[in-house]
Amino acid sequence: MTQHLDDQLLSDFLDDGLDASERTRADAHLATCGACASRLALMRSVVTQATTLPRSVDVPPDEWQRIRARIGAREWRGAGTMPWWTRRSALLAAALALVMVSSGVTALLLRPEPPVTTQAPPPVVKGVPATARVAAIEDEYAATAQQLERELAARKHALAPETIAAVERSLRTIDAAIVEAREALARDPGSETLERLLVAGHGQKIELLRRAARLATQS
Amino acid sequence: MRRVLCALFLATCLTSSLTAQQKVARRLPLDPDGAVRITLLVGTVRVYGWNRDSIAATGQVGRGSKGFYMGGSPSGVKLGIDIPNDDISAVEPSSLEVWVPAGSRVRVKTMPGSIVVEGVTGALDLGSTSGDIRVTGRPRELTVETMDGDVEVDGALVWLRTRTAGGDIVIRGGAEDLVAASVSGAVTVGGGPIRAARLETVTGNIVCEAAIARGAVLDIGTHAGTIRVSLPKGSAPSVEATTIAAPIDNNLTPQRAVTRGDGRILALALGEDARVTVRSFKGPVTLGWGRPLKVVSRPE
Repeated sequence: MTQHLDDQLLSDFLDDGLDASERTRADAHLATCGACASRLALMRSVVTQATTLPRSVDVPPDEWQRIRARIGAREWRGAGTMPWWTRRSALLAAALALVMVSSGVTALLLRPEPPVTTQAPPPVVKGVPATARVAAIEDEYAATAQQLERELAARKHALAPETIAAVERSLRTIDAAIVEAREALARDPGSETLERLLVAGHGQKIELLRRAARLATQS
Repeated sequence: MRRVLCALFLATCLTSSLTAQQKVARRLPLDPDGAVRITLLVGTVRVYGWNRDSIAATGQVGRGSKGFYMGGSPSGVKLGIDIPNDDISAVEPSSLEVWVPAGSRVRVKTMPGSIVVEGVTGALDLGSTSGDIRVTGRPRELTVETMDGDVEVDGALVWLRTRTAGGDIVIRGGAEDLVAASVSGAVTVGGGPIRAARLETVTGNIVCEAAIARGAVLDIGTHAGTIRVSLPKGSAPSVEATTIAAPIDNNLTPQRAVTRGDGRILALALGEDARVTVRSFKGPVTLGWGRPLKVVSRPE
């Protein structure tokens, strides 16, 4: 095996998804190729770190009281039954998660999607103004998107022109929606709906780039 | 002269056989829950679940492809059709029909090729750039990703994740735990019961008319697509719909949406059966009653 092992094969290696002959060849290559061995070590480290992240975070009782107070007259429906994506604090959780995995984001994003739990409560940080929080979240998404765009650009040749066109068309659509939501949020900074729409747009952009990068990798 | 004609005839036959589509027929043992990985960059893949401990493949290798490969062990088999330099423009479409043990874990990847899966109950991971993907049956888990292809799922599933960029998504049998997302494609969900679902688009329209489990949570969002939610007649969910620059048409109750800030909001507390959140920037939202389906008890 003279060529380097690609991410998909390394991922399969980590998942123990190779058959005996493939594993033997991969073992032989890894024994002599420092670049692939270090990439495997990085992926293993990211996976290990990801598995050590808490599936849920215990929130101090006073935090829930503070949130209830902010909600005011609105009915408190009980966080235990709500999916994480329906909560405002999920915005912050998304940003924190991005920070935590930023060093290995590409490796993680190129892996198949893990099951989504609908029960894990997100962490809450008090004293962060909405505008600052949104700006921080946007910064994190932008950094992740740039990293994925670089990854995709490096592998673009592996995709058909019509696929590249489809990706670019969709990115333009998402970017236009992000701009529109951002401008509306600037006019109405307290709007929870706008905050969620803005974050949803960023999430869709990341997801699209991740998918395109994965397609380019496997082709 | 006769020799020349014979030589020409033989040469023609030889050339034809080299460029003709090559047929495929192979069978290997495979565990009932074995892993199957199918890669066919250009063409159509059809996968069928069957009640045997083996995997069988038939099909045709398109002109220009390198050839068919298939190998592995009873715990896992890889198969597919290689093309020179991964240049999908230089080959004609191939086709594969693959029979796998129904409980197999199957992954299929194509580029501009379509995928059809029927009767597989193990986990499925299907991906294509521009091909359509159709699944019938009840796979344990289903992940479907495509850029411009359409996705069609027919069967009541437990866990489903599907994403497209420009393709439409149609889920007829519902899924207990569902994420369906598209950028400009439409998302349509029926069947059910749904326990937790997130449906989102940027400009694609969303239609949700699925049955809901007791305690279900539905989160539906778009930027500019229309949203139409039909809740089972007789159910008593709580509903919160918000838009920024679009009307909310409420046919569930006489209540009208109120203006708040730059947008509109409609909050209905009809009961505790389910919680439905609808969010849109400028796509109109329509809420109404659907078929008189009973709300199903939440699965344990």
